[in-house]
Amino acid sequence: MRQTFRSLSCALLFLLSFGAASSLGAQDAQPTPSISTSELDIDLIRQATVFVIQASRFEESLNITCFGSGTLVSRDGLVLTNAHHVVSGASCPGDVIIIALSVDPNAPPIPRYRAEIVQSNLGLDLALLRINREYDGRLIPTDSLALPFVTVADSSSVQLDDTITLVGFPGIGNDSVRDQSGTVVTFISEPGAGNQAWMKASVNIPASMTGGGAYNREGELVGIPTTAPVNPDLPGASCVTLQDTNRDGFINDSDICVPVGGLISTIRPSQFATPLLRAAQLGIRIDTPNDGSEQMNAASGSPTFSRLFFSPSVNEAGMPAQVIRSLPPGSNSLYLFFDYANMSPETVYEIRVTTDGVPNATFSLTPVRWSGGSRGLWYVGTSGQPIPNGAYEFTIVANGIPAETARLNVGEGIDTNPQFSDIIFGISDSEGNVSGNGYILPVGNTASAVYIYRQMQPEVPWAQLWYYEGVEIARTEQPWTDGTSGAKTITIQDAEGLLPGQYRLELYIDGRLGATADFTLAGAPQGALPQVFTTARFVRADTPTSALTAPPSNNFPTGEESIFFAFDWQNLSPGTPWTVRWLVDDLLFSEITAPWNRSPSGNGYVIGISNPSGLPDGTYSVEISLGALRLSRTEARVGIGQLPIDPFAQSDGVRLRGRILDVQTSQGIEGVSFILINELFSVADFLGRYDQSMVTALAITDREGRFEIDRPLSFETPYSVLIVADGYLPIQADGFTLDPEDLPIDLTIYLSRG
Amino acid sequence: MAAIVEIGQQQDQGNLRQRWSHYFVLAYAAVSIIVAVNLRISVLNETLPYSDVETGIRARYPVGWLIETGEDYVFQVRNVGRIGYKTSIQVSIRPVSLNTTTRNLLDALSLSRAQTLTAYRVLAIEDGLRIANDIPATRMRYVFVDVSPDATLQRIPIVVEAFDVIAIQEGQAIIMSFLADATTFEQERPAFERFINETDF
Repeated sequence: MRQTFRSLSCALLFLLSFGAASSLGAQDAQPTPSISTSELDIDLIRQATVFVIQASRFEESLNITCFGSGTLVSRDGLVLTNAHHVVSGASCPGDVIIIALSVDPNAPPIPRYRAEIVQSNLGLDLALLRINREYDGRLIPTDSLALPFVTVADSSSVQLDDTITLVGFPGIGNDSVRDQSGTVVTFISEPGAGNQAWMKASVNIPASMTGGGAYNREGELVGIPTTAPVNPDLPGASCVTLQDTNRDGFINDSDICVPVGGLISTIRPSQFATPLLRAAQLGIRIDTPNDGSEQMNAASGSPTFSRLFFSPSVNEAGMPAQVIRSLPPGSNSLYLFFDYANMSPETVYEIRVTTDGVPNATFSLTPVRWSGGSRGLWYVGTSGQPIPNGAYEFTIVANGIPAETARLNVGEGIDTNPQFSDIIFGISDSEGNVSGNGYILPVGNTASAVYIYRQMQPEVPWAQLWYYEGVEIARTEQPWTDGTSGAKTITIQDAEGLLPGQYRLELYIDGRLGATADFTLAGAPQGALPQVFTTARFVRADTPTSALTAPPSNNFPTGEESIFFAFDWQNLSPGTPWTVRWLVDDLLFSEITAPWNRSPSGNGYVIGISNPSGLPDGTYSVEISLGALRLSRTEARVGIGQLPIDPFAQSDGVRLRGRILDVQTSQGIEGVSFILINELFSVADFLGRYDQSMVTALAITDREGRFEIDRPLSFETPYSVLIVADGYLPIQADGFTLDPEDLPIDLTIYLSRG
Repeated sequence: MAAIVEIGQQQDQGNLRQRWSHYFVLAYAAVSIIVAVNLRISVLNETLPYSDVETGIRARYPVGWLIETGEDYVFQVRNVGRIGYKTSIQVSIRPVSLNTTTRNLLDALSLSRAQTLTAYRVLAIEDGLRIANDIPATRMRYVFVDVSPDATLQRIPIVVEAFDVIAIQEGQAIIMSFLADATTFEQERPAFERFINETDF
């Protein structure tokens, strides 16, 4: 049999060759026209872009409630998209998520699957879906999917003026996937997100492309175009009615109105999606105690904004360096600060900027979900970007309704008025030296602030106002008696001890706010540093309750399904924002910031992580922070202490696809097996065993004879190929390689009957 | 005016040698056909050995069928050369307790498959079978629609007919499944019969 097989196919062997524009066949070798030489594999990107529909059940049918775009980021069906159109809420009340694919890149998407939410962050407006069911609701077996996907890149490598391509679906399901290229025109900063909370593109794309992808020149996903429509029930919203959702025979106001947004130019950098993706790929679930943090974070009224001011820079704690009313010409950084209240992750906010009365798209922030807490201090700004001269007007818009406006002139010359700046906090020693970490101080009787003063004049009236949890607790107003410039230390003290919590200092010069900063008192003094979280440890236990008494452990066996992390705390005021970060092999996979909602001191705060299939081997770390200050880090090893390697994690490589035709009819042959044998074996080896372990990939042709290898193939690797179908002479070949210059490879192969 | 032309019968009587030559050619052709048919049958029925020390299963599977092992089964072989649904034989093992009955296993299989297989339906369950070493077995026949998971290709769903042969032996259940296109199920079935006959547990 084997010999016969070889003899029949040997005449065809030499015809099998791989490379750019190659084709296989017993007859005509025809170059295929669909080969691209660009690094940006737009064809793959289009295939990996999906249309996401959220729907709600009504009687026996589904009503569309929201829609947007998404991107496949793993071969087993992880979809990265926005949270606002998939997570059930007031704007999008549906509970079924449909995924439609671009089967034909030039045609509208076709609904194929259902998906579930595996990770989401409402504030960041990111969600990771996992395709888990067929369109008809049947479960899809784990690992049976092999979908085209793109690589998620590190967005911090993106620079101003870099070319990016935005991809998504421009319409409500009637249009094919669209790509539009532009450049990065600015980065927008927000608290907790560094200087790249958002990227702004030079092009505007339709709102339905929200949740799609922004790609660099290498075709890697660097961002997610994002805009959030306002809840249709609110006055500032816009929406469209698509269906007779109540089945009354009419399409009118009583039917579900699907929210739509305006044009998008704002992109959420992919670095914010990486932890979600990592957690989903590792299958890790984090079980935090239900202690009411969500309720504390919930808004109880309409959003309000106050105390708007500008600063030319922000320090590492997210505090303004100083308060300004104008900027000199040639400035390249500017931040708008404001206090906010009654905000929630469902609040849609927007910054509209005009320059000399003309809308300024570069510095505006299109409507996006709120990523902060319910109340506090916030900023939006940009740095490293030249700011043209002019009269700027910044308007904060919440849920489509303009709220507050602040104005600033740029290009007015250097400010020669007296100035305060750069407030930092610490604990004073007996000699008046201030030490500490700047913004998180231990609870005690005193707290000191050091600030810079410049261009001060004698007898200029100045004032210091201290606040605790928003309430003024101390004030002094007096004429200036120090020098023209230098550093000054001021102190607040209470003989009975300052309470733990959030404090604010405001410094005024002649009735004008000159500088301000917030700080937190928490923990017991350990020198000038606070000791807030103690006895942090990993434990092995069956339940959170038993974890409280379990002995600490830093080593866990391979396959452990759950481990717990516990700690004690002291002097931490309820409402203080704290952050817990989980890392594996120093790779972040979860970061949660929430207001503290336990008593100020106590024992046994327990957080668990679990995976029903067993936690992956690795070195797990937990970091606890207040603000930007990390106060605790604890490590434990699971198994060998190192993550396993996923051979399919990257989409780099050559994608191989093609068509297999009948040489007589030129019609596609359905059901032909295209077997790609790995580099360790020849076709002859394979024919002796027919063992799947020798196979790199197996593709079966569809009704038109089309096939596609379901994973990227390595460059320069000598594969072997066997093509078999009953009734046709087989084709086989050894030792062909794939060239990185040829993306994708599209083959045409002819089979002869025999 | 029409004319009738009569052609007389011509008798071509060769000599004895020629006649024997004809007989020899006919005999040679007949033998060749028989040999070719036998060769074809032996080629089509050619098998490769498989053995698994851990489970103690020894089997022979057809040449040209791709063999693979997995988490959910001991091994599976697929006729990758077949056009359309790739006829498959799958062998899996499930632990059982003293109280587990064959019907319990069938119910568990059905519940699981109903979640993942489109239009899954059990057609019949037959008891009283005997397989290798006279082990009693039960057979469950069922159908489902095979939908390709590859969403980017245009593949029409295929109605698949299948049956499981289940035997409980030494604290474990051995499940041998045969799956084929419903339109050719009976034609393909002998391959499974041969497989069962050549399998030892």
